[in-house]
Amino acid sequence: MVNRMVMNVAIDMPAGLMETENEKNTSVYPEVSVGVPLVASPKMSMRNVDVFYGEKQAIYNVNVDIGQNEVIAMIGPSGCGKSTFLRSINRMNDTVDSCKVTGQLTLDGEDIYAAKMDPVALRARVGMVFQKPNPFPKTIYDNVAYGPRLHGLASRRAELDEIVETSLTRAGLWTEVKDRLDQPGTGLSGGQQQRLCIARAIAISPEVILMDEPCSALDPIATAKIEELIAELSKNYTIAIVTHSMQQAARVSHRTAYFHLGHLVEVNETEKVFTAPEHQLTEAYITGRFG
Amino acid sequence: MDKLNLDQHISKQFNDDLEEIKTSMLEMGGLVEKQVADAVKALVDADSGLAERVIEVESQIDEMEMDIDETSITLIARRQPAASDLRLVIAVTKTIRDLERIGDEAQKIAKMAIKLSEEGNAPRGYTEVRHIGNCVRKMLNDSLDAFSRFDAVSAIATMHEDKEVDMDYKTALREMITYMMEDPRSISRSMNILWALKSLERVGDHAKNICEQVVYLVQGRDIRHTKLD
Repeated sequence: MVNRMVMNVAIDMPAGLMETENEKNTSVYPEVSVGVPLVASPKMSMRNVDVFYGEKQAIYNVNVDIGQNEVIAMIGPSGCGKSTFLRSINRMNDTVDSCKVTGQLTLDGEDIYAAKMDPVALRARVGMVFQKPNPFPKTIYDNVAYGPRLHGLASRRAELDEIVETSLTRAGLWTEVKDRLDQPGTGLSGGQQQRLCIARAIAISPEVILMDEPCSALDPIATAKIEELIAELSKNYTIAIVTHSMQQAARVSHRTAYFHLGHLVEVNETEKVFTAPEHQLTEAYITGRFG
Repeated sequence: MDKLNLDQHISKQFNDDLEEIKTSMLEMGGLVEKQVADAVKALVDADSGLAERVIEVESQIDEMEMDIDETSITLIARRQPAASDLRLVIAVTKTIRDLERIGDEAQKIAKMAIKLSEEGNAPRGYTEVRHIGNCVRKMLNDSLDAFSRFDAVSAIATMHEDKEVDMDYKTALREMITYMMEDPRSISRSMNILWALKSLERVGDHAKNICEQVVYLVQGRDIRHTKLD
């Protein structure tokens, strides 16, 4: 027993002893994402998705569902394709000429890359919040009213007022700005601006909200408010969030998807990913080991 | 997973912190093993001096438990460990709790040893104490070995030994009752032996708990309160 105290405790186990129990030993991408990438009656469904920038392939054969009212977090090292993937699910990548998306992507069963699908209408249903708060150089009121006006969602001023109030309330910003709706949105703090952008996104009643690192420019308090908001919003919306903060993914999401160099390695219940992930690559990333 | 790659973090300090709590836990385990061995020896050899020493060392074990707890809490606060790292920290904090309890049991046995040495002779029941003592010491040793090697398979094998200890304990209990019925003057002595046997049986239970933590650590499965198959 005393021997154990002094000997080097990092001892290798006989090779292969545990492999039947647990096939974590692989450090290559799995053919099929491990875990639970698919769900029953999904809101959005992605099958065999490849994304290319010119000759270069950025996403390899991704198959994943996003469930109704689910918060799904996408994590992975820089350049792993998580943002590219997020941007292909509301056709934001259409604006990049060299970008080509193949495979099947559906929203409520409708092909979002179908010729008859209007990308503007699609983005009204699948809204997006970006990394840096980007309010329009307009008043707080007009920032939120912009979308509903554009899409003709309100016929009278009173209706528009109601949409603005509801959206700002849902974004947790109403009490802070209700007395200064005529002031410029750019005059708000970073966290308030981000919540204004969320209010703007939800003003047109989207079904899905995509968030691309929504808190990376915010301080911890503002971050906590956005995270609280995500939990609240998930009652009414389906949310996909890309984040560099693993703790954030752990806090806000129901399922977590781990991307690695364009491959979707693992999708699992968030609780499982952060306590006992199935794949070695996921484990290496979330514990801060060499991949 | 063949090993937990504790030394593979990008942060070297994190490697060191995790290694430290594991090494400290194993040191504490080594000391606790020695306590159990000494307590049993003190009892069967009627060596009250050795028993006194066991009682003195007990406070050292309590301190080790608190130190490792504190280090673990700091590590959680500073590093927010996840996955296998998180499981290691949790397994260590639960294991040291079992080790501390084993230390308490060793202390109880030492107290019985002192009482018995005062009452003198007629060493009935010592064979049982020695036998069960050996069994649970082996279990404890094996459980800590399994932890140090991250070996869930041998942890499960060790858990099975607890059943035998429980059976041996019941057999010894019946024998002690027979002695007491045969000779009521031996009741007070026999009761002291029984308390010591009960403590040893508890040591086996704690060793089993440690094995459960090893399985959780290595495989991420919580097998507490489930039937072994």
